Amino acid sequence: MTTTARLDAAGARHLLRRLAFGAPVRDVERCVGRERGEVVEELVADARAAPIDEEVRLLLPAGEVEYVQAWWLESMLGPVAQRVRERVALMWHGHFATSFDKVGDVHLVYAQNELFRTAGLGDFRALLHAVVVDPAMLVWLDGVENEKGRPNENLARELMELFALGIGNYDERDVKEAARALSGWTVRQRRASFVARRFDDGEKSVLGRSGRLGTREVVEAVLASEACPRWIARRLFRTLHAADPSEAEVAATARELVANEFDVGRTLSWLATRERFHAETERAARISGPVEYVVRTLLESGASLPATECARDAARMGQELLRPPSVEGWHEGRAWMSSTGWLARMRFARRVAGAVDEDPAELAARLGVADSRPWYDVVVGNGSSSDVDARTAVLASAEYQLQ
Amino acid sequence: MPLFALLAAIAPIAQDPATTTAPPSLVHAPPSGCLAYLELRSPAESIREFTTHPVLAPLLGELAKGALADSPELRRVVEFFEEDVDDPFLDVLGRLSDAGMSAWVTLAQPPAVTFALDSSDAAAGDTATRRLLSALAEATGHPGALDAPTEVVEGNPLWSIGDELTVARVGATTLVSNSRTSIDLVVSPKRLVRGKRALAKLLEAHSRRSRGEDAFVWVDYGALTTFVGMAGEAAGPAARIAELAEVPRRPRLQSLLGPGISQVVEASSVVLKVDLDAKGALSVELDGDDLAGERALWAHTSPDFAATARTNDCAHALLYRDFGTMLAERESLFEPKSLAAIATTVSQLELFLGGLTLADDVLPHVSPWIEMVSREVPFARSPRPDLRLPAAAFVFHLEPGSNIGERLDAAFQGIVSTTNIQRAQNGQPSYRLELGREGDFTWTAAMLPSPLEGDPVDASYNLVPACAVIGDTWVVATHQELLLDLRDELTTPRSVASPATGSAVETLAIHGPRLATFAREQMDALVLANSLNEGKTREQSRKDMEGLAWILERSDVLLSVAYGPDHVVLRAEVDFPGRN
Repeated sequence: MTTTARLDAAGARHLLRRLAFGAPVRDVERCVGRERGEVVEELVADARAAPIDEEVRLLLPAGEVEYVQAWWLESMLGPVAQRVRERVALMWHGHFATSFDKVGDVHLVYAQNELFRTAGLGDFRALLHAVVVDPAMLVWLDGVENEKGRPNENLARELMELFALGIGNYDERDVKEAARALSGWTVRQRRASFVARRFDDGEKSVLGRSGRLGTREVVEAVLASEACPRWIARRLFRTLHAADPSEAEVAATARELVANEFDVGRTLSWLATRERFHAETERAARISGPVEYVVRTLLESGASLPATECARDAARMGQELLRPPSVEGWHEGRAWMSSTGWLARMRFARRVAGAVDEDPAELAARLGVADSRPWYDVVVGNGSSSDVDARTAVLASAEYQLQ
Repeated sequence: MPLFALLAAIAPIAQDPATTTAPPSLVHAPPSGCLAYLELRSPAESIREFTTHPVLAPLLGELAKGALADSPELRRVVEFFEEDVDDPFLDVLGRLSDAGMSAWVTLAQPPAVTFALDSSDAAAGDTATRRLLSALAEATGHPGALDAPTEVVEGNPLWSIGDELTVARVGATTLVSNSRTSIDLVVSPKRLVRGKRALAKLLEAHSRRSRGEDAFVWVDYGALTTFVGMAGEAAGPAARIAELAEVPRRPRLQSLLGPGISQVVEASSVVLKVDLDAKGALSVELDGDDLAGERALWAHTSPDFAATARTNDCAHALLYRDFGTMLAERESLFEPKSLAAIATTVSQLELFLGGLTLADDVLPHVSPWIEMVSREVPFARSPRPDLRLPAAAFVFHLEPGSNIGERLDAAFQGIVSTTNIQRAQNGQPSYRLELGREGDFTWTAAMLPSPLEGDPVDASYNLVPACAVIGDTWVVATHQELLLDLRDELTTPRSVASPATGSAVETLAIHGPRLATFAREQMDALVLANSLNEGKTREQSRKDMEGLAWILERSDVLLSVAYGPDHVVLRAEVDFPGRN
C-alpha cells in the first residue's frame, strides 16, 4: 500500500539513508513536511537528470584502480540526486559483481561503472543487454574465450543463476545452449567486438526458444522468463529494506516492475513510497554495508577526509569497491559483521570523530543515536570522556551502524 | 644556478664546519634535562626575511593559512595581536628578542615548553612585556589584573596566568612557559644531576655545529627514543619515532634511502640548521652526531670517476649503495624477518644470471657508487603517453675489463621474458624484445605494442626499458631514448678521479623548471589526484599544485649526504634562479 503521508524529520532521515546513502541536515530539511511520494519521485527524477561527471578519465591512463575507487566514493558524497544515482550504481555493482583483479584494465572497469551510472535507473532489459556484452564482463566471465567449438559456460551460467533468474529457473541444457549463443565476442580497443567466425551459429534451444539464437535472442529469452522480474524484484526490495521480502512482496514488486516496463527508477520509487518501507519496524533495522557506513558517516558528520583513505577504510571493513570477492558480490546483512570488519569500523569512526568538533551530545541527538541506553550515559552523557572518545562512541555505536 | 654549478658547490659541504668559523655561544642556556632546544638569532628579522622572500613568502603564507585554519589557539593569538595590541607583532617581537630567542622542551606530561626572549635593552624588554600582559588582561575582561606580578621570586617578577601559562622577567630576558616548574629552574637554578649529560651534549653540539644560522635546532634523539620506548605507545608521534629507529634494519629502506639518511636515526643527537643567505638562497642542514657502532654500509671514499650532470637533466644523483656488504653481512645488519625476502630476491636474480652468484661473481665487479639520470625524452620510437613522466636511467660503473655487463644484459632479457609470461596470464600485451645495433654499439630494449588509433596511451608507455654496456658502465633505463642519449655522453672520455678518503658525498640535484613543465602539462590530472589523496576541494588542490609548479619553476635543489668520522650531514640547498 502506498501512502500520501507527509515526512517528518525521522521519516526523511530514513528515506535518505536508504535511497541516498545518508541524511545531512540540509537534505532532511528539504524533505520535511512534504508528501513522501512527491519527494521520492523528485529524487529519482533528479537522479536520472543529474549530470555525469567524467573527470576521473584524466587519471585512467595511470592504470591505478585506487583512483577510480576514491573518485567513485567521493561521487557518493555529492548532491542528493547524484547520491541516489550512485546508490543504484552500487546496487548494480554488487549484482553484476565484476572485479578489477581479473579484468586488469582500469579503463574497462570504469566503463562498466559508467554503464551502471547512466543506465542503472532505466529499463532493466536494456541494462542486461548492455551488461552481457560489456567488455569488463566479457573478460571477467570469460566471454572472450567463448568460441565456436570451445564454448565457455561462465557468462551463460551467471546470466541465469545470478543476473536474471536464480537457481531452479533453468536447467543445465539451457546453460550449455546459451553459452553457444553467447559465443563470438572479443574485446578490441577496449570495446566489445563480435567476430562472426568465432560465433556458433547452429540451432539452439534456450528456455523454450529455439533457432539460430545469438546474444540478443538469449537475453530476450531470459527476460521473457517469469522468474526474471521476480529475481530483480528481490534485488530491488533487498536494497531498500532490512529483511528479505515475503513471497507475496516479491510477487507484488515483480508485478510493479513489469507494469513499469522494467523501469528500475519507477519501481524503486514505488517501493520507497509504500507504508511497508516507512513502518517504524523498518527504521534503523538494516546493517549498513561498509561503503554505506563510510559515506553516511561522512555525510552526516560533515567530516572531510581524503577519498583514497576512505575507500581503503571501506575495504578494511570488507567492501573494496571494484573488487568484489566473487561473482556473487558481497554477502550482506550480518555477514558484514566480522571481527576485523568491526575493528575497522571503530578505527574509521575515531578518524571521523577527530575530524569534526561538534559537541558529542549534540551529534548523538542529531544523528538519532542519543537515548537512555547505558553506554550512552557512561560514554557521552556524563562528560567523563574526551570529546573525540565520545564522538567515536556515537559513530561506532551499534545503533549508528544500523540504518 | 644551473645544475652543474650546483653540483660544483658540493665540495664545501664535506668539510667539517667547525674548522671554518668560530662558533657563537648559545642564545640562552636551557636548564638541565632539556630534550630539544631551538634558537633564532634574530627572530623578527628572520621572519621578515622569509616573509618578504619572492618565492618562499607565498609558500609560507599558505602554510600559515593552513596552520591558522587548523589551530584555534593560534587564531586567538593572531586575533589578540591584531585587535588588542597597539603595535605590529614583528615590532613587539623585535623589542622583546632583538638579542635572540630560544625555546626548549623538557620531559613532563604534557611536555613542558619554555621560550626565552632576550632583549639587548633590558628596560625596553621589560616595558614591552608589561604592555603585552596589560593588553592580555584587557582582552580577557580583567583590566589591570596583570599590571603587577603575581609574585616575586629571588627578585624576579613572575606572573601566573591560570594553570596554563607563566611569564617571568629575569634580567633582560622574558620567559614564557606552560610549566611553572620549568620557569623555576631558570629563575632559581638548582643543581640537577638528571639531564646534565644532555645539556653537555647540547653545548658541545652547539659549539661544534652552530655558525650563527637563522635557526638552530638540537634534539637529544637518544633520550627521545628511550622515552618513547618506555611509553610504548602504539600510535601517534611516539610510535612514528619508534618506527624511524627501525629504518636502518630494513633492507628496502636502506636500499632506497642509502646508509647516510637511514642511519641519522641512530645518532644520539640531531642538529637542524636553517639559513637564508643574503642572495636569497635557502639551506637546511641536518647533522646526526655521535653515531655509535659499526657503519658497515657507510661510504668511506669518494668514487673513482667524475660524475657529470648535464644541463638538460631534470635530476642527477650520485648514490652509494654497497649491495655487496648488505648481502654478505645481512644477518647482522637487518631484522631477521627480512632475511627470507632477501634470499628470495637473490635467488631470483641469480636465476637470470645464468649460474653466476651475485655475491661472488657480480657485485665485486660493480662499484657501489651509482649514477642516476632523469631527463625528458622525446618518445621518438614509441607512443607518447597521455600522462608523461621523465625518463630515468641508472649507470653502474663496472670494473675495467670485466665482462659482467654482457651477463647483466642477458639477465635483463630473461627478466623481460618472465614478465611477459605473467602479463600473458593476466591477458595483458607482452613486451617485444628488440636488439638494436648501430655500428659496434648494441643494446636491448623492450616495448609494448603500439595502441590502436584512438586508444588511450597509458602511463605504462613511459616504460620502454632498455639496457646496454657503454664503455666501462652498464646502463639500464626506463626508456630507450634516454639510453641512446647517454650512449653519446658516456662514450666521451670522462675524467678519472682519485678516490679521496674521508670526503664521501652522495648528491641529488633537481632542476625545478624542467619538472615544472611536466607538472604544468598534467595539471588537471595532478589536481584530481591530489584532491582525492589529500581530501581537499578541487579549488584548493589546484591552488596547491599551481603553487608547487610556480615554486618548481623558480627553484634548483641540491640534496647531499656527507659522511664524517662519526657523524653524517644531510643538506638541502635551494637556489631560486627564476625568482623574479
